[in-house]
Amino acid sequence: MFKIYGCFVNILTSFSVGLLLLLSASFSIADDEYSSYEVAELILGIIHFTRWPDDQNELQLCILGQTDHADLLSNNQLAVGKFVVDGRVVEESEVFQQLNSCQVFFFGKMSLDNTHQLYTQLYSNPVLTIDEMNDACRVGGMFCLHYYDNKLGFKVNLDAIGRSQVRVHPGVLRLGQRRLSE
Amino acid sequence: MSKNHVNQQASDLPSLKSLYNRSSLTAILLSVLMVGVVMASLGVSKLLTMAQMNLTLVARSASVAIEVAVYFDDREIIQEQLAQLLPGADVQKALLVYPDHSEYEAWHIEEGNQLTRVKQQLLQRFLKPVSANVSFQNEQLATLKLWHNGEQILRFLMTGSMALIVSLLTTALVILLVTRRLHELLSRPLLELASVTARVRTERDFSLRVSRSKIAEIDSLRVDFNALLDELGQWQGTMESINQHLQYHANHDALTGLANRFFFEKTFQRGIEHAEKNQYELAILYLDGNDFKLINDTYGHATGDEVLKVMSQRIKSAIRETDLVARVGGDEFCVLLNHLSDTDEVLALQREIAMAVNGPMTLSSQEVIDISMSIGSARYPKDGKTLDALLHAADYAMYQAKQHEKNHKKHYHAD
Repeated sequence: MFKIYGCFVNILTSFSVGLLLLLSASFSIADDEYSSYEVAELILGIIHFTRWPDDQNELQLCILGQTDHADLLSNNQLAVGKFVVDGRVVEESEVFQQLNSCQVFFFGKMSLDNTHQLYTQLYSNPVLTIDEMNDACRVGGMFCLHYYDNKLGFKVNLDAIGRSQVRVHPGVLRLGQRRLSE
Repeated sequence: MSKNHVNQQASDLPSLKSLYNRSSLTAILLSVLMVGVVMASLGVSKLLTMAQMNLTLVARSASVAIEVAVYFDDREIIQEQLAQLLPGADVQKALLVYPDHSEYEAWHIEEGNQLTRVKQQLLQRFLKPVSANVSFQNEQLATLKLWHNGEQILRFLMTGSMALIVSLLTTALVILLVTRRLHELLSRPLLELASVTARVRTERDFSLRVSRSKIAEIDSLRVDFNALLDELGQWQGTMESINQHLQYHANHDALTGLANRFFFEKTFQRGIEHAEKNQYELAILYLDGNDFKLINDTYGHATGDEVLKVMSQRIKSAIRETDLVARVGGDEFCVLLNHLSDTDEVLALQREIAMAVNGPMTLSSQEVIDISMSIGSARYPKDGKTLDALLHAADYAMYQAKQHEKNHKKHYHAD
């Protein structure tokens, strides 16, 4: 699928398919059922099958709110396919200022009151949104992480995808849609 | 003997029908068979190529369909996608081979739809499994390998070969019918021609004709043949009349129209043989004109001929219908008497003839002359048993009569 390399060789191998991680000699595995590695893998997979306008391939991944499995994503540079993804944490208070600079949002548990306004604004931008915890996946991000049958997968919010300015490979929708019906 | 030989030869030769059947049937069936075999083999090879291409296409579209699922390693979706695509595409099984050489059988046909092992092994000879890369943006995710099930191909081959056989048989049948029809058109008139020829030859019936044919060449042959028969018939008629003429002249005397010596001797000889067999009697009379040479010398040959004609008529008038009179020499006549009841009958007839013959006649010059004949007779078997002996005996008797008459005349004149 995608491979984990040291971040220093990332640029050299950016043409190849792979994932580069900056990580310490060993990365911690969460005490949850699934690991940050799996989360990073999944999110990069979704990014892999998503297209931004103007073929933008240097992406800012912004992590918002309280997340459990975003360790490998924050303050890290990752690569998948032709994409180079820079992950960072964005404070909830600054979110509206950062909207235009982020192409990917990973939402944790948020304490914002005006999430509705946030989503409305997000949909007018070419942004890929992924929720960490949203089992219903009807309101909010376009994709929602979903752990099922001992395997980490995702659900899709077709409404959000329909309104989004980014294009997602239909095969990915097929994968997420099945879980919606489960 | 020679006729039998010819017939035997003819029956040994192949008939027109068998020749025609053999050659046309062989040629056409061979060509149809060759075309059939060539077309069938071309078709089969094309079919196999198409099947291979089709499977490649199926593999490609399947690999595109499952690329995301393969990327996310979602085997459930892979199975689901393949289960949508592969049934009906005549695929036996689908195998995913990952870059690390691990394999995953993503799909296989339902047990009931599988072909028997023998058929599968047969098909595997001709149909190789095909592979398609499952990749996304040049990243090789896995290889999808598909095996033919071959059921549709086998069915197609089966129906194809059935159709081939049926059309071959139909062709053969049609050829057979056409050949038979042609044969009838062709050989029936020829057979008729042959039978007419044979009948003309055996029966000498030149009125026979060959009937019309539907084939131009044979019909023109018929016209010529019938014309030839016309000519032969005419020729035959001419020949017969000439023969009759010749026959008549061979047997008759041109001047008097009586039988000639040749015919008389022939008939007399037959009469002797018949009489010998049946034990009855015959008699001949020998007649000779008296002083005929004098008449010839005095009045000329034309008058001589006139006298001969009158003599013959007079003799003819005196004899019975069953008797035969012939002119055997210049003024010599012979009469053959059949069916004699007794000895006196010969004398009576002799007398009757003498009375009829002797008497005056008017010449064409209105001159009247006296003509008379001397008559001698001989009897079978009393006076001789052979033709020569009897003729001689009758001639001698006639000579005796002539001498007697001369003496009598001399005596009369002397008186």
